[in-house]
Order: sequence, then C-alpha cells, then structure tokens
Amino acid sequence: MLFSSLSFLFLFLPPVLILYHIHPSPRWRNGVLLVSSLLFYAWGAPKALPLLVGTAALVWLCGLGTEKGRRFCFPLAVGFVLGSLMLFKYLGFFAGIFGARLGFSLLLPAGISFYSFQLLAYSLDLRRGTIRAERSFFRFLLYVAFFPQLLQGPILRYGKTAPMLGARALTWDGAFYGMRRFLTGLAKKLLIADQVAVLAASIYGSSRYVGTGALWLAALCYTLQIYFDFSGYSDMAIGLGQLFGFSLPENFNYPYTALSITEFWRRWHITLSLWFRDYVYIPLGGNRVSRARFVLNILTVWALTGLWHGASWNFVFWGLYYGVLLLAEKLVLGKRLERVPRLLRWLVTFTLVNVGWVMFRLTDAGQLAAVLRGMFVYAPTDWRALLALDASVVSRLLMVPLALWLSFPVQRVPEKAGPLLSLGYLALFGLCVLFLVSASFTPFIYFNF
Amino acid sequence: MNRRIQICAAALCLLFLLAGLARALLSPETEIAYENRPARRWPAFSALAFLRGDYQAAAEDALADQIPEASRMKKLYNIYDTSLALPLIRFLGRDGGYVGFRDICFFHDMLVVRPIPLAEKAAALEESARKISAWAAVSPGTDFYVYYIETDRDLNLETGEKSGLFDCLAAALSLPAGHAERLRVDSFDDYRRDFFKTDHHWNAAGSYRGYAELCALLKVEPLPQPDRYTVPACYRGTRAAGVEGVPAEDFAVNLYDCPDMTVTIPAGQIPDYGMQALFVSGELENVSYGSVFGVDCGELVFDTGTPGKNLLVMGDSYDNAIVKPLAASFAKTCCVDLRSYASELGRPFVMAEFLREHDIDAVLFVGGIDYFGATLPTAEGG
Repeated sequence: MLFSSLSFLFLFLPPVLILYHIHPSPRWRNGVLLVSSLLFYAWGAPKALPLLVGTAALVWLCGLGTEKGRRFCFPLAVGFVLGSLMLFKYLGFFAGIFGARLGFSLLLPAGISFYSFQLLAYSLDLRRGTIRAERSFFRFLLYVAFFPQLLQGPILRYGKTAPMLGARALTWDGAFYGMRRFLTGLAKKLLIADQVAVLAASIYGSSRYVGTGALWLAALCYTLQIYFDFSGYSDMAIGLGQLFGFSLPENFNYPYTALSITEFWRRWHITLSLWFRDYVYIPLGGNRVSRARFVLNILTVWALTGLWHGASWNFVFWGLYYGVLLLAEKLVLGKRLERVPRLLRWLVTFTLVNVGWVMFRLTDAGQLAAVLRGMFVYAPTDWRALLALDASVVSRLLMVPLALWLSFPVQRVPEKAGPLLSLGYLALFGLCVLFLVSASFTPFIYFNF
Repeated sequence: MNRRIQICAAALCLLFLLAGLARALLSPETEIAYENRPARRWPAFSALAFLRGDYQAAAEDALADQIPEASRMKKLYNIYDTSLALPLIRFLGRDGGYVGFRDICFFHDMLVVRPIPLAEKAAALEESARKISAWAAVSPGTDFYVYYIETDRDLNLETGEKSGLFDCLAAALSLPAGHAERLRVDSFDDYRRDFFKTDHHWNAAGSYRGYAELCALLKVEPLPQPDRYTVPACYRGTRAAGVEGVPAEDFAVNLYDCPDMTVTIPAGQIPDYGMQALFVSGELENVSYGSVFGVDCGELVFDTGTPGKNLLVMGDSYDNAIVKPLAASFAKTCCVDLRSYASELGRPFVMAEFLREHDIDAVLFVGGIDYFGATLPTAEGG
C-alpha cells in the first residue's frame, strides 16, 4: 500500500488513527500499530508477509541466542537475512553474470532491502554489544514492520527506536506537526514528483525528435522527480511517525544545495549513508588504512550502495561513479575545492548528480549510452514535434521551476503555525486529493528497493 | 484560537476521509455521468483475489469513483490541465498536423486518434477472418457479409497514408466475391464529412453512407433518402471527455421512414430502440450517441411481422445508428454485440445455434478496427 493511494488515505489511515487514539494503554496502541502494520504490508504484498514475519522471528530468536553467547546465532541471523536478500533480489542478476538463466522468477518482496538492513543492523549491534536484545517478539516485530517506515525507510536503528516501542509521549503540537509533515510529503509526491515524472518518461520514451536540450531537460526532471518522490515519502513517514508518537530520523537535508559530492551524500538518503558508514566502511578500516586500501574500501562501499538500489549493472556503475567522484574529491581536489567559487561548485555538483541520476534511471545499457552521448554531443531537438506528441506536458513543465525553487531552503514554515497556515494545509490536502483522484500515473520509485 | 483552528482543520480532513470510506462501502454511486460509464463499486472479497492483488486494485478504483465529489474533482483537474494546454495546442496545430493531448489528438477542429500500424493488428484481423470464414463454411444456407468501417485509425490524416487494415482482413477472408466491403475513408475530408468532431462514431452523413452501401452489399432496397434533423452545438462526444474547453458540436439524425416493428432486448420487449423521437422533439436532456440511437445491448431483435429473410447483425455501437432502417428490409433482424452477449444472456454466443434458433438467412459483420481487431478475435463461444 502506498501512502499516496486512495486506499491508504481513505480505507487505512482514518480507522487506524481512531483505533490508536481511542485507548491510552501502550499495550493497546502497540497492538493496533502492529496489526495495522501487518495489514498494511499484506495489502500490497500478501505473498511476502510470511517472509517478513519469518525473517523477523528468526533474527529475534538469534538475537536472544547471541546475547546468551551462542556462537551460531549471529552467523545464522546474518546469513539468513543476506541469503533471502540474495535469493529474492539478486539471484537472477548473479546468475546472469555467470551466463546461467533461471527457469523461474521470484517475486521481489516489497521493502526487503529496507527491512533487511534494519535486521542486519540489529544483529550487528547486538554482536558489538551496543544494544540489549529485545525480549518481546511483538515489540521487535513492530520495530521491523512499523508501517510508516516499512517500505521505503528511513532505516531505523533499534537502539534509538527501542525507547519509543514502550510508552510514547503524544502532544497535540507533535500530532499537528505530523499532519503538516505528512501533507507536505504527499504534496511533494503528487503535485511535483508525479508531474515531472511524466515529462521525463515522455522524453525517454520517444527516441525521435529528442536532442541534447531535451535530454538535459529529462535529466533535470528525473533529478527533481526522484528527490521529491523519495523525500516526499520520507516526509510522510516522519509525519505518520509523529501522529503515533514516534520520532523517525531525517533522511534528507536539501541535497541539491550541496557544493560537493561528499556534501551531497551527507544530505541524501542519510540513514542509508550512515548504515554503510557504520556497518561496511568503518569495519573495512575506513580511512585509517593505506591509500590503496582506502581506494578499495571506497569503491567496495559504493559498488554495494549501487547494488542495494537494484540488481542491475546500471546501479553498480552508478554506485562506482560516486565512488570515483568521492575519491577524486578526497585524493585529488582536497582543500583546493574550497577555493573554487561557490556557484561554480554548486553547478558542477548539481550537473554531476544529474548525470548520475541518468545512469540510475536507464537500465538498458544501449539506451543509457545513447542518452549520455546525446547529452554531451550536441544534437538539435525538434521541440515542436516533441511537444505535439502530448501537449498535456505543459502543466508539468510549469512544475519544473517550482520544483527547482523548492529544492532550496527558501521557505521556512514557522514552528508556531498560525490560523492561515492551518487553512493552507487544509487547501493542500484538498489539492492532493484532487490530483490523486484525477491522475493515474503515480509510481513510487523507491517501492521496489 | 489557533489550536481550535488546527483541530477544526484536522477534523475536517478526517471527516472527509471517513465520508469517502462510508460512501464507498455503504452508499455507492451507480454511474459516473461525467465519464459516461458505470461507477466502479467496492469489490466482493475473495482470498484468491486478495493474494493476486486484484481485490486491492479494484478497491482503489472503487474509491476513485466513490469518494465525495470525485467527478467534480476530475472535472476541475481537467479544466486546469486543458486550459494550460489549449494555447500550446492552438500554436502547434496552426499549420495542421496531429497535436497529442493525453490519449487523443487535436487535428484541425477535430479530436482524433493516430493510425494503428498494420503490424499491431494483423494477427487479430487474420483471426477474425478465420472465424468468419469457418462459420461461413459450416453454414451453407446462410450468406456471410463483412462491412468494415474505416476511421481515423486506418489513415494518417496528415499524409493520407493508409494502414491497410481492411486489405489485410479481406485478404484473409474466404467469402464469395463481393461479400466484403468497406466504408472508405481516404482523406481527412472524407473523415471530417462522415465522423463526429468529438466522438469516434460516424455522424449522420457517415451512417447514411454506410446504410446505403450496406443495402447494396446485402442486395436490398434502401428506404427513401431521409430528411436530416440537426440540433446545433448540443453534443460533446466521448473523445471530449476530460478535454474541457472544446466546443460542443452539432448533432444530426436521419429521419428514416421506418415501418412499425417490435423491438426485444434480453429483458423483454421495449417500445423503441433509442430516443430519436425525444431528441427531435427537443425533450432529450442528455444528448449522446447511445441515448439517441440506442444503447449497446448483448442481443436485440427487430421484428417487422412481414414475410421475408432474417438478418443477423454482428457488430458494436457503430451499428446502433443503422440497424433500425436496415431492419425495415427484413422480416426479422437480430443484433448481437459480443462485448456483452455472454454477460447479459448468461451463455456464450454459439453461431450455429443462433442461426438455427432464429432461422437466419444472412449474417452481416459490421464494425471498425476495434471490432475486427479486438472484440471478434477475442470473443468466447464458437
């Protein structure tokens, strides 16, 4: 179930909110949240529910065993989580590398990359002794399956979440902030991401008439789409968390304002970057190693980051692309980068990020090569013919400058919301429902990760 | 004060969401007038459908139709979308040529669709031809005819290049010479003359041309050339649905002098097929192709009560405008629409049984690419 679906807004959310708040007992509230989270998951991926619950049960049992010093428990938990991730997400990809063809296809369980990383983090933290094992399976399952973050993060750490799995303080200000945050995310998704997505899809879908200008426009549209789509989802998740008294970690911090690739990755999908830093990069030795090993560590982390996003070569290249750019910044440019004018640094960073998203977007190697060539070797665009394919893109085109503007911290909503702000959010809610009822093109890019 | 407004705003949102859910579950709409179709309703639960995800998809569709003011919202969105696009459409279309808008195209003053390449439909057309030829082969006492209606899907209106869909169908048919004909559309002028500007159906001129050509094909005497009654600027066809700002067009009907006949649908006898008389008297409020000429029906039987041959018309909504005058030339005329025959009659259509039951002398297949390229080749039955 997607947050931006009518089923979620009309069928799921109101009854869950009412049932949750009808009784103040933490046990009741956790019960409501757990049952609703499992229903939420089953609605979108009914066949994958046993895998989610089964994996969580095994990791929970192994966690108890690890704490009691049973040596086989940790490798069993990590092996099972990685094994199921490998089986359901990567088997076909790796089989293809070795020239084998699978005679069957496996359904990719929704959110498997996200909940697998949470389970791995739990097992690894237990092993390191930085957390205590959760005694209650139901509380543990709620940590894994809590519906606001289940499908697309933010990736939670058990250590920070555990206190909230008990009693939670819920204030009206917190709830109202949650509502505003949810509506902001919904608007980002429906009013911006889904609109510019049509433009990108339309340009990438038509090989005729498309030249350099159109390809850069498509790259820009996809750059905006993926940010407003994913950060919109994160806003909705954080907002929903607030409505139930949870404080979920931030996942984005205006990434397109970054002046370097290093800064970009401090601002983009923050919980994933921190996960790789804590559980891959630092255990590999981080930067306290030889230069050759450092290069290897960076490339390993970024190849894995790419692969996490999808079982396809373009994701691996996309990850390595960032690995190489980060190495160039750290080893070649170093402090010299700071002497470059800020505007130029921003422009170069933003352009590099745009190119990266093209690699991310196009899974067909032939099309990717043609598009990248087209972006850098000038060819004219037949704008008249391109626009004549579907003139309805004009309303989407208007969203591009708006989306660019909103990618910067130009507007700050005051913490103390005035009456006008409440009415503004009410109008935004109406607008979102209007777009949702009227439009049918609403894929969530991060849904399958 | 501020807190109260916040609570009111939150409560309003919650109430609206609950109202939408209650409406979808307890008091659903049956029809979406704005989109000219039945409203999708809350699906019956089945574990298998849930596992497949069909239940969830149907529930989402139902909510899209049932939440309060859904049609108004869709209209508002379409006004917003179209008003932004129309200036660009006018600019791009000033020298002629297709200008796309969602699934349709503007071409001069008409709403059209782009032509279908032959490769996309060749297999389906050959399957249609195979079915018709097979039925004809096992029904020696019955004559089989095909009348193919060319539309904007058969012709590139910009270049005049034709897709060759009829040629493909005709080449694959095993019928006697002269038993397969078409309504030829060779140019934009032909198309503009014979079809509505805002709808995919033929207009009064096109349907009369079709009727006259069909009479020649079936070798029956046509009714005298009818007067034509036109109501100006009263009609926006299905292609204009969702395209706000496109002006209404004229709607004309041919006033055939038909003899008295009984009309029977699966539910029983009805006074007349269509509401042409109401349209002419100015009492028809909602002018649409279906309301004027008759709505689509799985099985329709016209009986003139005179001796003569019996005709079976196999087609879709195109024949709605001509079956009544056509029936005037036969003792009994049955019309079968395979899109709804099985669901309305409770059994699949079986040609041999139908021919025997109704003592049919001639079978006429009539329609465009939607019929010969989709409905007929995929229809169940035999």
